[in-house]
Amino acid sequence: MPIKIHPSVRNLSRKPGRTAALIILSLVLCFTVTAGSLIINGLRGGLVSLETRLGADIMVVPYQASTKADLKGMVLQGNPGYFYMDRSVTDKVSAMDGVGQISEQFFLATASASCCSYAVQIIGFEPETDFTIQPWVQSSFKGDLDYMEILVGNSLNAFPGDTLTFYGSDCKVAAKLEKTGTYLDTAVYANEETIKTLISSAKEKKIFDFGDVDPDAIVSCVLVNVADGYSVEEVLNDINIHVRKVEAVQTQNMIEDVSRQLTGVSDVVSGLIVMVWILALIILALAFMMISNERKKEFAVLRAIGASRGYVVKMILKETFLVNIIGCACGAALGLLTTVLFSGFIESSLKLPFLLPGAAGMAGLAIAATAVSIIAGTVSSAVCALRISRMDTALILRGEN
Amino acid sequence: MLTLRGEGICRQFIRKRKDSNVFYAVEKTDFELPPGTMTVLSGESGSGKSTLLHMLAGLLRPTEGKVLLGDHDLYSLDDKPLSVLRNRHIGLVPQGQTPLMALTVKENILLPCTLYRQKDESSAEDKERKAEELMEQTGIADLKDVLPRELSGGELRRMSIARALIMNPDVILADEPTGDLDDENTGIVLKLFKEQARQGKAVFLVTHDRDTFAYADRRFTMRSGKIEAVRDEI
Repeated sequence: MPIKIHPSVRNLSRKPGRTAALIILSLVLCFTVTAGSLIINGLRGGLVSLETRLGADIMVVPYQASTKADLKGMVLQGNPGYFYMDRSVTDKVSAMDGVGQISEQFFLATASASCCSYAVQIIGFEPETDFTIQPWVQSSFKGDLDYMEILVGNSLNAFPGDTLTFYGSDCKVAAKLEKTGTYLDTAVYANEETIKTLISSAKEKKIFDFGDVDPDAIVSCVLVNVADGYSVEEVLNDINIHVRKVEAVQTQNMIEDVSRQLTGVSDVVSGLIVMVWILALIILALAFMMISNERKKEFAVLRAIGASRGYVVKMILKETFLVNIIGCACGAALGLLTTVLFSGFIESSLKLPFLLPGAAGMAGLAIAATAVSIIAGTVSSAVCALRISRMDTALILRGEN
Repeated sequence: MLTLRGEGICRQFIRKRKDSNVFYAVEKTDFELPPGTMTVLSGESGSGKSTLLHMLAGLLRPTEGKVLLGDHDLYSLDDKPLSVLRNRHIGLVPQGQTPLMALTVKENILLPCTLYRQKDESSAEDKERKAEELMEQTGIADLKDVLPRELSGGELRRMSIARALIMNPDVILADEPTGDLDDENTGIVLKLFKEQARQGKAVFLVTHDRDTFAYADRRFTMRSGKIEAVRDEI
């Protein structure tokens, strides 16, 4: 059995202060890249999710809704709201050239007063015609939604079997939907019959000023998918010209606003990552250089007792690799934990859709960030290791270098 | 046992002077360290003693000439074979304090045994035993698990000597080996070197210490890069 002494390991374990400082540096390096990548990924995931969930080419809403910016607030930020237009709009729109799929939606905001379990947005849809909510719903709930049954978004603190009360009407939770990272996570979904009952109850409670709205004769929004062979702009213009008191909005335009904001935020985050990286790498390289200078006589002694240049380089790299692997693993874990714990805060402060990847995706990202950080950290010390290995041993032993 | 010899070696350094930009730290010379002899080189500071020692150790390439260890021309070898040769055949005691601060005394002494897979031979237990023996001989046996920061200069120097001897080298090169030692330890160390020479090793001490002269088989002195044999005292 050969004698085994691991100078690299000994050097780290017997200089705990210095080792801890180096580990913290590499932790910062990896934390930044993990948390930053997860945030950028979460923002992109949120945008994709929003695009998928909106799922329609055109939204037709009452003219006032589009001008009051209620629509964007509701659709993009999940602010509870409601607006209604005459149901005849659906017939007019469906009769127009180029209209493919069409489906109605009904919005009702609930208050946080004693009338309701939650202040949320309730979205009613027609199960027979819906093409935006049901494809998403199906992964969490199979079957038909009965009268006074509801589905709840992932962020709501309600579970299947619970009963929620809205304007005095009890609704049974049939399923909790999977997370989308968008406003849809804070909404409640009901079929057309249920939401009409809830609108009637709300009207009776007189908490909001509904005027003389007849629940059977109104609709909040008509979603349109354009038929093959027609352009979205063409159909959009036709609707805006021929149907009065409504505004047809291209959903892609709304998403583009979000996309622009998201690009801006991503750029800032990326810039910060790059800055922190450059700083951390410079500090790491300087730290390794200072430590190596301080230990140059030790390296010269190693050469004197017969260590090759390669041995010295390997020894330095092994030390930095060990430091980096510990620091980066901790940094990645901390980055993962922080991003997951604060994802709600990130979403609310950025006011943008935010959907983190699944556990496997996040683990993959953290592993990739760890690998990149370890490589970068080790490379930052490689130059120093090479320099040290080529120093003039004789001069250092004589104390002249 | 191998003979270490320098053939026509000299070493120039660049240093601005009145009449020249270079000076000879060691002037052209032939110098041999035969097995079984203890050679002592003394001289003033800056006379070129350490430069000669480092050239002989394969750590400082001569400006001219070659250094041969047996048949091996040290400076014609690549770094790895030269390092292996130094590890196996040359025991070097550098000037000053030279511990690896993170290793204990015993680990410092055993370090040369861990650099390469050993060809022969002695098992780890043998090396451990040899290390214990050397620590005993140099009077640092009770310090084996102590870290260098707790040692005195003299103890560190004795550790460095034990480390140079652990590989049982053919040639021992020591730069001021008794520099930090008191009289008693100087005697112990010099006897140890003398014993190594008696076992057939080539021992070369570079020193200011006059106490070493009595142990020398051959004595040289160095002045301004020139080596002269001191014959009358041998």
